[in-house]
Amino acid sequence: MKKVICLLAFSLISFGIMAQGIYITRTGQVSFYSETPIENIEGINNEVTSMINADTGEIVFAILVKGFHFEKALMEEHFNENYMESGKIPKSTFQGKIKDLSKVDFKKEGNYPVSVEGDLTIHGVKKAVTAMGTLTVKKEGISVLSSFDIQLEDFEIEIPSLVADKIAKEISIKVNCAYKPKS
Amino acid sequence: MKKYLVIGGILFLVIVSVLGYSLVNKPHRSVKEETAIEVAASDLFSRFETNEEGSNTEFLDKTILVRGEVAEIITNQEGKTVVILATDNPIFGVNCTMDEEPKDIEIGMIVSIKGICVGYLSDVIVNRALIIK
Repeated sequence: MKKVICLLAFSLISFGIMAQGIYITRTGQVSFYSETPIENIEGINNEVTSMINADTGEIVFAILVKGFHFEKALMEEHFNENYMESGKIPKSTFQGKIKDLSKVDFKKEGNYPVSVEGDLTIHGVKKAVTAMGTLTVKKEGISVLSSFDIQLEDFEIEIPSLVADKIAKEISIKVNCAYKPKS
Repeated sequence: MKKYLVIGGILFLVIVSVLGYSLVNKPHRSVKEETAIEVAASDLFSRFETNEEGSNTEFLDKTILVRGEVAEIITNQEGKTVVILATDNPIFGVNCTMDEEPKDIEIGMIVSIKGICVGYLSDVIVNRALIIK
Protein backbone atom coordinates (compact mmCIF):
# COMPACT_ATOMS: atom_id res chain seq x y z
CA MET A 1 0.00 0.00 0.00
CA LYS A 2 2.85 2.28 0.87
CA LYS A 3 4.28 1.48 -2.55
CA VAL A 4 1.28 3.05 -4.25
CA ILE A 5 1.70 6.28 -2.33
CA CYS A 6 5.42 6.29 -3.06
CA LEU A 7 4.68 5.67 -6.72
CA LEU A 8 2.20 8.51 -6.69
CA ALA A 9 4.62 10.93 -5.06
CA PHE A 10 7.52 9.71 -7.17
CA SER A 11 5.55 10.04 -10.40
CA LEU A 12 4.59 13.56 -9.47
CA ILE A 13 8.08 14.64 -8.67
CA SER A 14 9.85 12.83 -11.49
CA PHE A 15 7.40 13.25 -14.35
CA GLY A 16 5.65 16.37 -13.13
CA ILE A 17 8.15 18.66 -14.70
CA MET A 18 8.87 16.65 -17.86
CA ALA A 19 5.51 15.37 -19.00
CA GLN A 20 2.39 17.38 -19.77
CA GLY A 21 0.04 14.57 -19.00
CA ILE A 22 -0.21 14.27 -15.23
CA TYR A 23 -3.61 15.02 -13.73
CA ILE A 24 -4.24 15.05 -10.02
CA THR A 25 -7.00 15.47 -7.47
CA ARG A 26 -6.85 15.49 -3.69
CA THR A 27 -10.58 16.07 -3.21
CA GLY A 28 -12.01 13.19 -5.24
CA GLN A 29 -15.21 11.44 -4.18
CA VAL A 30 -15.74 7.74 -3.70
CA SER A 31 -18.99 6.43 -2.24
CA PHE A 32 -20.47 3.03 -1.66
CA TYR A 33 -23.98 1.79 -1.33
CA SER A 34 -25.43 -1.23 0.37
CA GLU A 35 -29.06 -1.98 -0.38
CA THR A 36 -31.22 -4.42 1.56
CA PRO A 37 -34.97 -4.54 2.21
CA ILE A 38 -34.32 -3.58 5.85
CA GLU A 39 -31.87 -0.73 5.52
CA ASN A 40 -29.88 1.19 2.91
CA ILE A 41 -26.41 2.31 3.89
CA GLU A 42 -24.34 4.91 2.11
CA GLY A 43 -20.78 5.93 2.92
CA ILE A 44 -19.14 8.92 1.25
CA ASN A 45 -15.49 9.94 1.17
CA ASN A 46 -14.53 13.35 -0.24
CA GLU A 47 -10.77 13.27 0.32
CA VAL A 48 -9.65 10.82 -2.31
CA THR A 49 -6.20 11.41 -3.77
CA SER A 50 -5.91 10.23 -7.35
CA MET A 51 -3.58 10.66 -10.28
CA ILE A 52 -3.88 9.91 -13.98
CA ASN A 53 -0.93 9.76 -16.31
CA ALA A 54 -2.35 10.65 -19.72
CA ASP A 55 0.80 9.45 -21.48
CA THR A 56 0.76 5.92 -20.08
CA GLY A 57 -2.86 5.51 -18.94
CA GLU A 58 -1.79 4.71 -15.40
CA ILE A 59 -4.42 5.58 -12.80
CA VAL A 60 -3.96 5.48 -9.04
CA PHE A 61 -6.36 6.07 -6.17
CA ALA A 62 -5.63 6.26 -2.46
CA ILE A 63 -8.29 6.65 0.19
CA LEU A 64 -8.48 6.80 3.98
CA VAL A 65 -11.08 4.46 5.43
CA LYS A 66 -11.74 6.77 8.40
CA GLY A 67 -12.74 9.50 5.94
CA PHE A 68 -16.05 7.79 5.04
CA HIS A 69 -19.12 9.55 6.40
CA PHE A 70 -22.49 8.00 7.11
CA GLU A 71 -25.93 9.24 7.98
CA LYS A 72 -25.74 7.61 11.40
CA ALA A 73 -22.76 7.81 13.75
CA LEU A 74 -23.28 4.18 14.72
CA MET A 75 -22.89 3.04 11.09
CA GLU A 76 -19.59 4.91 10.92
CA GLU A 77 -18.45 3.28 14.15
CA HIS A 78 -19.34 -0.25 13.05
CA PHE A 79 -17.84 0.31 9.59
CA ASN A 80 -14.51 1.38 11.07
CA GLU A 81 -14.24 -0.84 14.10
CA ASN A 82 -15.98 -4.06 13.15
CA TYR A 83 -15.85 -4.44 9.37
CA MET A 84 -12.95 -2.47 7.92
CA GLU A 85 -10.67 -2.45 11.00
CA SER A 86 -9.49 0.99 9.94
CA GLY A 87 -7.31 1.43 13.03
CA LYS A 88 -5.14 -1.44 11.77
CA ILE A 89 -5.69 -0.97 8.02
CA PRO A 90 -6.21 2.76 7.44
CA LYS A 91 -6.02 2.84 3.62
CA SER A 92 -7.65 1.41 0.54
CA THR A 93 -5.98 1.78 -2.84
CA PHE A 94 -6.45 1.12 -6.51
CA GLN A 95 -3.65 0.92 -9.02
CA GLY A 96 -4.45 0.27 -12.65
CA LYS A 97 -4.46 1.26 -16.27
CA ILE A 98 -6.93 2.73 -18.73
CA LYS A 99 -7.25 -0.07 -21.30
CA ASP A 100 -8.52 1.92 -24.24
CA LEU A 101 -6.27 4.94 -23.84
CA SER A 102 -5.87 5.37 -27.60
CA LYS A 103 -9.57 6.30 -27.84
CA VAL A 104 -9.08 9.27 -25.51
CA ASP A 105 -7.89 12.58 -26.92
CA PHE A 106 -6.80 14.60 -23.90
CA LYS A 107 -6.62 17.72 -26.08
CA LYS A 108 -10.18 17.50 -27.33
CA GLU A 109 -13.14 18.28 -25.07
CA GLY A 110 -15.72 15.54 -24.82
CA ASN A 111 -16.89 12.35 -23.08
CA TYR A 112 -14.89 9.19 -23.60
CA PRO A 113 -16.13 5.80 -22.38
CA VAL A 114 -13.20 3.91 -20.89
CA SER A 115 -12.53 0.68 -19.12
CA VAL A 116 -9.99 0.48 -16.33
CA GLU A 117 -8.25 -2.67 -15.15
CA GLY A 118 -6.13 -2.99 -12.05
CA ASP A 119 -5.68 -4.08 -8.46
CA LEU A 120 -8.10 -2.95 -5.80
CA THR A 121 -6.86 -3.29 -2.23
CA ILE A 122 -9.51 -3.07 0.48
CA HIS A 123 -9.14 -4.33 4.05
CA GLY A 124 -5.59 -5.35 3.15
CA VAL A 125 -6.79 -7.81 0.48
CA LYS A 126 -5.74 -7.24 -3.12
CA LYS A 127 -8.02 -8.25 -5.96
CA ALA A 128 -8.02 -7.66 -9.72
CA VAL A 129 -11.04 -5.64 -10.89
CA THR A 130 -12.28 -4.15 -14.15
CA ALA A 131 -14.52 -1.09 -14.12
CA MET A 132 -16.30 0.82 -16.85
CA GLY A 133 -16.46 4.57 -16.66
CA THR A 134 -16.58 7.88 -18.45
CA LEU A 135 -13.63 10.20 -18.76
CA THR A 136 -14.59 13.77 -19.61
CA VAL A 137 -12.05 16.20 -21.02
CA LYS A 138 -12.87 19.81 -20.17
CA LYS A 139 -11.11 23.12 -20.46
CA GLU A 140 -10.04 23.15 -16.82
CA GLY A 141 -9.05 19.50 -16.53
CA ILE A 142 -10.62 16.08 -16.70
CA SER A 143 -13.25 14.28 -14.70
CA VAL A 144 -13.94 10.63 -14.16
CA LEU A 145 -17.22 8.90 -13.34
CA SER A 146 -17.46 5.18 -12.72
CA SER A 147 -19.47 2.64 -10.84
CA PHE A 148 -18.85 -1.03 -10.24
CA ASP A 149 -19.79 -3.76 -7.77
CA ILE A 150 -17.65 -5.73 -5.35
CA GLN A 151 -18.36 -8.76 -3.15
CA LEU A 152 -17.60 -8.29 0.54
CA GLU A 153 -16.31 -11.86 0.91
CA ASP A 154 -13.66 -11.21 -1.78
CA PHE A 155 -12.04 -8.75 0.62
CA GLU A 156 -12.47 -10.91 3.71
CA ILE A 157 -14.91 -8.48 5.30
CA GLU A 158 -16.98 -10.45 7.77
CA ILE A 159 -20.47 -9.38 8.73
CA PRO A 160 -21.84 -10.94 11.96
CA SER A 161 -24.97 -13.02 11.38
CA LEU A 162 -26.94 -10.74 13.72
CA VAL A 163 -26.78 -7.85 11.23
CA ALA A 164 -26.35 -9.93 8.06
CA ASP A 165 -29.84 -8.96 6.83
CA LYS A 166 -29.00 -5.28 7.02
CA ILE A 167 -25.84 -5.31 4.92
CA ALA A 168 -25.74 -6.38 1.28
CA LYS A 169 -23.17 -8.97 0.21
CA GLU A 170 -22.65 -7.06 -2.99
CA ILE A 171 -21.67 -3.42 -2.56
CA SER A 172 -21.85 -0.86 -5.33
CA ILE A 173 -19.01 1.64 -5.53
CA LYS A 174 -19.16 5.03 -7.24
CA VAL A 175 -16.20 7.16 -8.27
CA ASN A 176 -16.61 10.87 -9.02
CA CYS A 177 -13.35 12.79 -9.39
CA ALA A 178 -12.36 16.10 -10.99
CA TYR A 179 -8.68 16.38 -11.89
CA LYS A 180 -6.49 19.34 -12.66
CA PRO A 181 -3.31 19.20 -14.70
CA LYS A 182 -0.24 19.09 -12.50
CA SER A 183 1.66 22.27 -13.21
CA MET B 1 -49.60 -7.41 42.66
CA LYS B 2 -50.20 -8.52 39.09
CA LYS B 3 -51.05 -4.93 38.15
CA TYR B 4 -47.66 -3.70 39.38
CA LEU B 5 -45.89 -6.42 37.41
CA VAL B 6 -47.67 -5.32 34.24
CA ILE B 7 -46.83 -1.65 34.86
CA GLY B 8 -43.24 -2.59 35.67
CA GLY B 9 -43.02 -4.66 32.51
CA ILE B 10 -44.35 -1.82 30.37
CA LEU B 11 -41.96 0.66 32.00
CA PHE B 12 -39.06 -1.70 31.38
CA LEU B 13 -39.98 -2.07 27.69
CA VAL B 14 -40.28 1.72 27.29
CA ILE B 15 -36.87 2.30 28.89
CA VAL B 16 -35.20 -0.41 26.79
CA SER B 17 -36.66 0.91 23.55
CA VAL B 18 -35.71 4.53 24.36
CA LEU B 19 -32.17 3.42 25.20
CA GLY B 20 -31.99 1.29 22.09
CA TYR B 21 -33.28 4.10 19.91
CA SER B 22 -30.84 6.65 21.26
CA LEU B 23 -27.98 4.17 20.87
CA VAL B 24 -28.81 3.46 17.23
CA ASN B 25 -29.33 7.15 16.49
CA LYS B 26 -26.58 8.61 18.66
CA PRO B 27 -25.22 11.87 17.27
CA HIS B 28 -21.98 12.32 15.35
CA ARG B 29 -18.89 13.54 17.18
CA SER B 30 -18.97 17.20 18.06
CA VAL B 31 -15.61 18.67 17.07
CA LYS B 32 -16.56 21.98 18.69
CA GLU B 33 -16.74 20.48 22.16
CA GLU B 34 -13.84 18.03 22.05
CA THR B 35 -10.43 18.95 23.47
CA ALA B 36 -7.87 19.25 20.73
CA ILE B 37 -4.19 18.43 20.37
CA GLU B 38 -2.48 21.63 19.19
CA VAL B 39 0.06 21.29 16.42
CA ALA B 40 1.63 23.39 13.64
CA ALA B 41 0.75 22.31 10.06
CA SER B 42 4.38 21.87 9.00
CA ASP B 43 5.17 19.91 12.16
CA LEU B 44 2.13 17.62 11.71
CA PHE B 45 3.03 16.96 8.08
CA SER B 46 6.71 16.21 8.66
CA ARG B 47 5.82 13.85 11.49
CA PHE B 48 3.51 11.85 9.23
CA GLU B 49 6.03 11.98 6.42
CA THR B 50 8.86 10.57 8.52
CA ASN B 51 6.92 8.24 10.81
CA GLU B 52 3.46 7.39 9.58
CA GLU B 53 2.80 4.53 11.95
CA GLY B 54 3.82 6.45 15.06
CA SER B 55 1.87 9.50 13.94
CA ASN B 56 -1.20 7.36 13.32
CA THR B 57 -1.01 6.20 16.93
CA GLU B 58 -0.67 9.78 18.07
CA PHE B 59 -3.18 11.57 15.84
CA LEU B 60 -5.51 9.15 14.05
CA ASP B 61 -9.17 9.75 14.91
CA LYS B 62 -8.15 12.48 17.39
CA THR B 63 -9.40 16.05 17.39
CA ILE B 64 -6.55 18.38 16.49
CA LEU B 65 -6.10 22.15 16.32
CA VAL B 66 -3.73 22.75 13.44
CA ARG B 67 -2.19 26.15 12.69
CA GLY B 68 -0.73 27.18 9.37
CA GLU B 69 -0.84 29.33 6.28
CA VAL B 70 -3.67 28.90 3.78
CA ALA B 71 -2.03 27.62 0.58
CA GLU B 72 -5.08 26.71 -1.45
CA ILE B 73 -8.89 26.82 -1.22
CA ILE B 74 -10.76 24.13 -3.18
CA THR B 75 -14.44 23.25 -3.54
CA ASN B 76 -14.90 19.48 -3.35
CA GLN B 77 -17.35 17.24 -5.24
CA GLU B 78 -19.98 17.77 -2.55
CA GLY B 79 -19.68 21.56 -2.74
CA LYS B 80 -17.85 21.84 0.58
CA THR B 81 -14.79 24.01 1.04
CA VAL B 82 -11.40 22.38 1.46
CA VAL B 83 -8.57 24.45 2.91
CA ILE B 84 -5.00 23.29 2.26
CA LEU B 85 -2.50 24.46 4.83
CA ALA B 86 1.08 24.96 3.66
CA THR B 87 3.95 22.82 4.91
CA ASP B 88 7.63 22.52 4.00
CA ASN B 89 6.63 20.17 1.17
CA PRO B 90 6.20 22.12 -2.10
CA ILE B 91 3.21 20.08 -3.33
CA PHE B 92 1.43 18.51 -0.39
CA GLY B 93 0.05 19.87 2.86
CA VAL B 94 -2.68 19.51 5.45
CA ASN B 95 -5.99 18.96 3.65
CA CYS B 96 -8.93 20.19 5.76
CA THR B 97 -12.51 19.53 4.64
CA MET B 98 -14.62 22.19 6.31
CA ASP B 99 -17.87 21.31 8.03
CA GLU B 100 -19.13 24.88 7.89
CA GLU B 101 -18.52 27.33 5.10
CA PRO B 102 -15.53 29.41 6.30
CA LYS B 103 -15.96 33.18 6.14
CA ASP B 104 -13.32 35.74 5.25
CA ILE B 105 -10.43 33.47 4.55
CA GLU B 106 -7.96 33.90 1.75
CA ILE B 107 -4.70 32.44 0.51
CA GLY B 108 -1.74 33.56 2.62
CA MET B 109 -3.70 34.00 5.86
CA ILE B 110 -2.55 32.24 9.02
CA VAL B 111 -5.44 30.27 10.49
CA SER B 112 -6.16 27.69 13.19
CA ILE B 113 -8.37 24.84 12.11
CA LYS B 114 -10.00 22.33 14.45
CA GLY B 115 -11.00 18.95 13.08
CA ILE B 116 -10.56 15.19 13.19
CA CYS B 117 -7.34 13.77 11.79
CA VAL B 118 -8.20 10.79 9.55
CA GLY B 119 -4.68 9.95 8.40
CA TYR B 120 -2.03 10.49 5.76
CA LEU B 121 -2.16 9.93 2.00
CA SER B 122 0.04 12.43 0.18
CA ASP B 123 -1.65 15.10 2.27
CA VAL B 124 -2.48 14.79 5.95
CA ILE B 125 -6.29 14.66 5.92
CA VAL B 126 -8.46 16.47 8.47
CA ASN B 127 -12.23 16.51 8.25
CA ARG B 128 -15.30 17.86 10.05
CA ALA B 129 -13.13 20.96 10.28
CA LEU B 130 -13.93 24.40 11.72
CA ILE B 131 -11.96 27.64 11.63
CA ILE B 132 -11.01 28.74 15.14
CA LYS B 133 -9.85 32.32 15.29
